Amino acid sequence: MTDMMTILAQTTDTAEALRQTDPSMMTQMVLILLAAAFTENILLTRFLGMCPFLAVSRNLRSATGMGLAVVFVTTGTVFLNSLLYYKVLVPIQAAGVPIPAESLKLILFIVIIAAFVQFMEMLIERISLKLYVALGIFLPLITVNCAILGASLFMVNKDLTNAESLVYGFGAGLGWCIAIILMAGIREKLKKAKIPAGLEGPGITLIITGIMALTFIIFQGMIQT
Amino acid sequence: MPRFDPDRNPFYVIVYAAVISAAFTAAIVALHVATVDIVERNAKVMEQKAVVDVFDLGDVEQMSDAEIIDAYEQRIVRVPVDPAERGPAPTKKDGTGRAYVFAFQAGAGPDARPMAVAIPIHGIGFWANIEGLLAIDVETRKAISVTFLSHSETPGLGGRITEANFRNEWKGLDMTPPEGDGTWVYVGGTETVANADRYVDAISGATGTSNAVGDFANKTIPEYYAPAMKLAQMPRDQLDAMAAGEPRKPDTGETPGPPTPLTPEPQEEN
Amino acid sequence: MPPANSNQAELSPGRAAIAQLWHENPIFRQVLGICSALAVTNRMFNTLLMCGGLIWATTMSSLTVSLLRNYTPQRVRIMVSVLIIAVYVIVVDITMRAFFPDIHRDIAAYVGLIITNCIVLGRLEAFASKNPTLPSVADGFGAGLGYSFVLMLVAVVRELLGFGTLFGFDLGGFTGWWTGNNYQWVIMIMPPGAFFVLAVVVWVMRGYALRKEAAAEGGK
Repeated sequence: MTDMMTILAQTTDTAEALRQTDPSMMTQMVLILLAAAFTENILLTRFLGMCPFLAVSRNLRSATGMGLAVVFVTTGTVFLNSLLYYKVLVPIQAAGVPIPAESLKLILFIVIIAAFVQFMEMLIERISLKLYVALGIFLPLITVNCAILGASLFMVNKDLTNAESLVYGFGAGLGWCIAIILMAGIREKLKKAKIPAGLEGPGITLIITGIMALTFIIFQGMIQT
Repeated sequence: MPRFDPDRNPFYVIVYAAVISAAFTAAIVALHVATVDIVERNAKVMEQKAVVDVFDLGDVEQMSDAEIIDAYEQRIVRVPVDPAERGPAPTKKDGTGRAYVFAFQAGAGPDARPMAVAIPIHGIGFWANIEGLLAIDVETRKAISVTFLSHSETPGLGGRITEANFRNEWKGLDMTPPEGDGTWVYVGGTETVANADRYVDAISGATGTSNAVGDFANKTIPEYYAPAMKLAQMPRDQLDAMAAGEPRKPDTGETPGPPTPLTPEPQEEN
Repeated sequence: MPPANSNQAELSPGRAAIAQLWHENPIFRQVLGICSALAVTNRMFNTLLMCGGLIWATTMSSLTVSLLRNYTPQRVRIMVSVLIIAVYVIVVDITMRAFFPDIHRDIAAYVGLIITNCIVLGRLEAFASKNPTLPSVADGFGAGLGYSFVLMLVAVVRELLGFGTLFGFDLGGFTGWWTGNNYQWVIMIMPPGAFFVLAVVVWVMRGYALRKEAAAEGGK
């Protein structure tokens, strides 16, 4: 019995110590970034953001544009949502107002994402018409990109701080961007291949995505954050 | 219908967006307020059902709600865990998380001591938070059963943690504090031969969820184990007193009540 | 964005719904709504629940968006649409939590999936925001139904090959013959399995459509 107690005391002590010493902030951030971009790739391991991935990966140019837009929007909205969730929604509920934070956070997040995309659209329109024309068609697709809402929800689930969520959002967007660029590269090569008529387009893309997803499974659990 | 161009007036755009958001949010809040009592009652029944189930007190699917409540109230005490004993708080920044232990009594007399304890195991799964309970036999230090109260794992994939196949894997696991690397339970992997009595077969196809369950089980079991075993030495009347000392109002902050109300716990802000 | 329908104004409610079932079927014509399709199609029962939720969401949000269409400024149109979708989905969530807690526990994960299902917003953008109420409702309902049809096809294949069951009923001999006792064909259960099955479904349907088109042209 006493043995057990000492072992227990030790295990809890180490855990306590680990949490308190806070293994250098930078390392933690890098780990969050790498995990979000690769081992927990939001597209290839969580399968979020599939529709724009299939629709816009036809050529490298538009895929890159879409990918970069997603990086930008994900970084911005995850951070914004993190601020609003922890500084507004949670305090309101803590003050005893009977609101279903669990449900309202979904509304909050999706509205912030839509508003952010809309705002970005207006801003780009003002700054550069050329960029607006290039990115314009992607903007509505970004709003319903499940990867972006998913990233915000993961931010809450992972219990990230505001600063961490900025890094996490960037990583998640980056992972999505990498995946769509990879896919576009493959599809460009596929143009030269002979594919049965019925399988062309979405069909073959689905099969390739399936194979890519299987390869990404090996990354699972390589980084523990 | 009046035809006008709503985009002309920026003021209208802002007011419209605000009014729509407020109206729909109000509708959701109203629905929430209208159902909150039912939801809380459901949650309580569901938790009691899960506890009766995890202690293996009967086939909960065959029992009526009244029988479940009866079995629960006769033989189970829900005791909050002293945060000082628990070690690092498992509570999340938004106030969710559990901090209590269930104790199951052999008899109802004031001197009866618990035969088994159920400790919470919780953490983030493949998608979101998973909350479970692990019942341990005090005498033999073997796992009686495991149950999962809430999860958001993919139905049919990670969601199969609630199914009998996976839960039965936990029955009879060795729950004495482990030596070596301190792993209480292996979920999946290659430990079958060396550590058969600590091995749980993973769910095929749901490696992510299985790994996550293993990770958080190994993190939370040691946090609750010692306090739970200490409670197991106490007689019923003492446990009842401790249970009564638990703040009834969920918003007093000490112990997050299960499972719906996200009770705030004053935590350091991020 | 999903391609805008041509001659929308002439569509009657019935036609709007039927178009969604086949000619404009969201999955094999537009390849939308894949995320949620992947997650739930390894069991038919789950798929059915998901489809019910989706039909509800598309129908009701089409109704609301269509009613508000003349008042909604273009600038905030998408924001208002996603808000409406989220509200209807959360209504389902809260109602289920209150009245069917057991089912809710097992399928709570669907909720988020339905909100971000591109089909719902796709229909709102392409149809409901420009058309009268009745055709919009029919269009939303049809889109949900067409989606459900393909999803159920995928689910039949995945559940049968993956678990050896249909709607959870063990097909005894089949399981043993196909995958051995208590073993599953894991790739069918995992999300990549959905990609492969969906690709085959899309292939078969497109092939059929292409052949029909070719026959029609040849006949002229």
